[in-house]
Amino acid sequence: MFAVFNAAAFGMAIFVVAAGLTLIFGLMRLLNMAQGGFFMIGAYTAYSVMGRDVQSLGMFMFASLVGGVVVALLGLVTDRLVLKRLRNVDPHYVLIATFALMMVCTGVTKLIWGVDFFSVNPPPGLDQPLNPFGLFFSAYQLFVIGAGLVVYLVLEIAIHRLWFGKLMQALAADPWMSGVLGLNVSFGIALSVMASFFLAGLAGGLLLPNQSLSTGLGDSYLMYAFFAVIIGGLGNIRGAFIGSLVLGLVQSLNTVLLPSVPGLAIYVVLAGFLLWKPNGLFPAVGAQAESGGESHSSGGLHRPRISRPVWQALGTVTVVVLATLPLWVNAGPLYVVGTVLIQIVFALSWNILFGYTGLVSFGHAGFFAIGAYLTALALRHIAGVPFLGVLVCAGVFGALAAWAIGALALRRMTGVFLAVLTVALAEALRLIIGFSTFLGREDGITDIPRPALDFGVFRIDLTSSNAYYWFLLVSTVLITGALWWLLHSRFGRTLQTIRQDAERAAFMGTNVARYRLAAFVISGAVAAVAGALYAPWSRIVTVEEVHWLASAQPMLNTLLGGVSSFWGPVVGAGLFAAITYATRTLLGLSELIVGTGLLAIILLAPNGAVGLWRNVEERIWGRRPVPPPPATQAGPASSTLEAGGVR
Amino acid sequence: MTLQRRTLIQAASAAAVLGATGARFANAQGAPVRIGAMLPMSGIGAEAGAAWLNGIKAAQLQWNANGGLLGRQIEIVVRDDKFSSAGAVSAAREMAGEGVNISIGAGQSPMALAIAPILKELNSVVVAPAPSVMSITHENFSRNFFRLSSNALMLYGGIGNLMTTKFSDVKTWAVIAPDSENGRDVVRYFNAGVAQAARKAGREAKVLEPVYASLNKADYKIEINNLMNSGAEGLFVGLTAAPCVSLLQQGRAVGMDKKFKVIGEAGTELLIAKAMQKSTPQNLWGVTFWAPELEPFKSQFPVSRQLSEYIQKVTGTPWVPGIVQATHRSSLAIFNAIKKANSTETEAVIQALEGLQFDSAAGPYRIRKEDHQGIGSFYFAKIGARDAAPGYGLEQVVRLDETEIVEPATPGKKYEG
Repeated sequence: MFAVFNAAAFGMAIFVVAAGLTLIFGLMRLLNMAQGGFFMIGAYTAYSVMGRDVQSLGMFMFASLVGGVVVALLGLVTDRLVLKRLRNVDPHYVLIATFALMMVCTGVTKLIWGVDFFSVNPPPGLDQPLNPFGLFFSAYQLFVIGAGLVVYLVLEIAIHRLWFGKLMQALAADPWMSGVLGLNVSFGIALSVMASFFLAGLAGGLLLPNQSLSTGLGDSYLMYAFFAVIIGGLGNIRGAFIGSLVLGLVQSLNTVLLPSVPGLAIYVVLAGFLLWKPNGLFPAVGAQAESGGESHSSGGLHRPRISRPVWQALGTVTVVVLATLPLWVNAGPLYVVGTVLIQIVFALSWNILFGYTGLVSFGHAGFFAIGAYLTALALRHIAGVPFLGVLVCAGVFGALAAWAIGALALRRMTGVFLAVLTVALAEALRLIIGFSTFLGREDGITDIPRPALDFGVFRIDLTSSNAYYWFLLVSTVLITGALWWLLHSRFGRTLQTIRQDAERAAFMGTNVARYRLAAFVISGAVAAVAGALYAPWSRIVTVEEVHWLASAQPMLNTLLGGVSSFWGPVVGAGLFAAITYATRTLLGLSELIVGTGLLAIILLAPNGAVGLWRNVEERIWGRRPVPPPPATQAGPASSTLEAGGVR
Repeated sequence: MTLQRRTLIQAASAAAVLGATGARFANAQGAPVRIGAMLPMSGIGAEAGAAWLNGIKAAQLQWNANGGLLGRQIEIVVRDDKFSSAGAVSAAREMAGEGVNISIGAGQSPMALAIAPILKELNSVVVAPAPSVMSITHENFSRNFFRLSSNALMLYGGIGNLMTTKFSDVKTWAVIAPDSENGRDVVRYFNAGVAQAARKAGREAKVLEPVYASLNKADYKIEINNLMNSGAEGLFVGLTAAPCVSLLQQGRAVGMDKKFKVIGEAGTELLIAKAMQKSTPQNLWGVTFWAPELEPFKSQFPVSRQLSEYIQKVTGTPWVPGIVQATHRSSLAIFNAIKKANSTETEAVIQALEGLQFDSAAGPYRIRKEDHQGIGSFYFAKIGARDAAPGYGLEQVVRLDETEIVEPATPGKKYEG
């Protein structure tokens, strides 16, 4: 009984956070990773207004409203400075922008409020324990349930009954047509964004007495809220409401019935649910629907002014310079460069899916971890194990895992739903590793020995950092070369046709499902090999390798470099590492600076570094004359910024 | 004016030669002694990292004011380990690459496990202020790594021991611990401590089945309900930092602080009282590293007075969390070892650290030669709100000699206790 009551309270807490997320997600197709950050700012703002011991319920509500209003205004500023500029750009780039915003939110919060913990009591009247039937709960929990219901009812009525909601729905369904009909599109969108941000800030205030206030607050609700939105169906308030209750119930029952594996059930249930109902409880209709086949634009074919031999020469010089690094660079930067090489392979594996096939995986770190843990176990426990054989095994295991997931999921779902399924599975894997003593729980597998390559007639010892670095460089060059060949072959071109228009590709006779599965399997295998290369380099493998932030890294690298080019992930990995390395001594400011830097790059180069370079090329040398292109259908959402073709 | 190429080359060569000899001369005569600090400056450990850094700065300021080390000033080189094992490995390699071979770092167990195996390769030595994982002085022992804090047995066993001894009217204990390897250590050694103290006192004390909780959640109400319905009279909270504050905050709302006669915690100490102020549970006891206004720190330990003076110079406030003492102690160990070795070479410093005895702000301290485990006194204090500034503080300190609870040194072998 207590589990059910707690499910309602926890579910409603999730819902008040999810409400803003589902609004902006559904209406603008904006996957706002910064929602947790703004929720946190709302909480800190409300704390500044009400203080530690709030005097009355009225003051508590006022402070929460202030939190909401301040965050709504921040939302307006964010919309004007960031989101508006990215409206005509590939929607997936907004992901990296909101990720950067999340870092900026954390950095700004630390700067203003410091890193101390705070604790706020519920207002008088709500600050009293209740003890019916031997259960222990508080009046404040009843308030949270009530607040969730009120927020739900207000949104339900506002969206489905009032002019405001209908206006928002119209804008979401067809902004171009709405503009033709005389609606102020820009104002309407700004209002939608503000409403969504207001809800985030309000939730921050209302849930302030629910837990301690710290700079990690945003993360604690974001994932649950995100899952609730997915279970409910994108952009559907009713769905988010039921999704939140389901999650609350699963979480509560997990704690009561399976106390030895806390937190696991939510991911298992989510994965199972997505396989059962791939589009959520209430699939959205019209433009609100996640098309699944949605792909980023590749724009017109880019014809480089600098010839291929020049690029090849530059590439060779870069590899030669990298090969000489151990001779003139100290251990610190060498370790960073070695890690970048691994990140390059990892990001390339992710881009096989995203850049070439139009599939998004948010849980790619799962494959990486499979390779890393397998290698760590092999090197720790089997003396003289052939390392190249271990790398192959890692690839096979990664491929098998990808095949199992792909065979089950790819026919049913794509787009954000597939992305969420992968993140749920990766999180479940993280928890399972955390429960396993054999895998070292959260401390991981340590003191992994570096291997030697035994070719019978000769032996290459990779024990030293320099030797293993050279091995990493050779491996990265070979894997990159192999992927280049694969993705520029008929297979790669077929994948691109699927990414651009899966339906048309199927009509032309391509077995879309089979090609998607093949891409998924290859991507999983390469990611696992990247993990296998990483284990002896760092000499420790922990559950951090499966964390969702680890999954975000190849995405950030790819998007930063430019998704439309094979070389984008390579450039992005280097660029991201350079930014973090350059800011490493700015203690306490690194999140703010890295976040702002990323944001600036996205705004200045919304098609990544490679896209920026192509623009520069065209500015300097002008667009190279090309034969007249075949007539294409230009839609209102087509990119005004050239993204270029795959080079 | 034109410059001959030969002139330019000659000038450049002369400058290079002068620069090189000058650099050597400066290094020998007055270049600072560079000590690394690899601490969490971002992520969830940032608050602890900031406090730890202040402890190091206080020691640096104090020694520099008294003439420095080997006649040279001490410089602290700080790198962010991002509260992660990968970040710690990166920071350790960078330190070594920059010629900083002696560092304070590995604030928590994952970072210690990550860097200990690579220190030999880097020819570096690291003194760690707080990791508690047992293996680091047992099967994962590294000659280049020193732990200057209680291990899990000393920490949680010590808590169990002191709580059972001090609160003789509590016959049953409930425990909530993180669902992790560390959480299992918490439970195992707390049980051992309770059993040891009960045996010694000749009475019964029981620890109920533990409640394990996920660390990445914000809602502990079901766990609280289970704890409150367990029938236990005392509670030990093995969660630390923000989850610990959340648990106590949510527990307070349903009367948890009144339900249990005493609540113990594992090291969040004044950060709880700072966050909760007057809502801090009335009967909360926790591990403390330093309580300068209370005995025995106040009058028995001269170094405590020095730390009070210099920490105020560093932070501008006397109200700092006790964990500053952990890194202050680590810094003193390094400074004393360098002084004893009269060298900053890694091997010499390792030999000087082995068996080193020195006075810390928490009393006499020694480093066991065989397994590099630091041994001193263990303190447990009542944490609470007060009317005077800053609105919170420690009352009543209980002391336990760690020699009574530390396990025998068995480096390279797993501890099976």
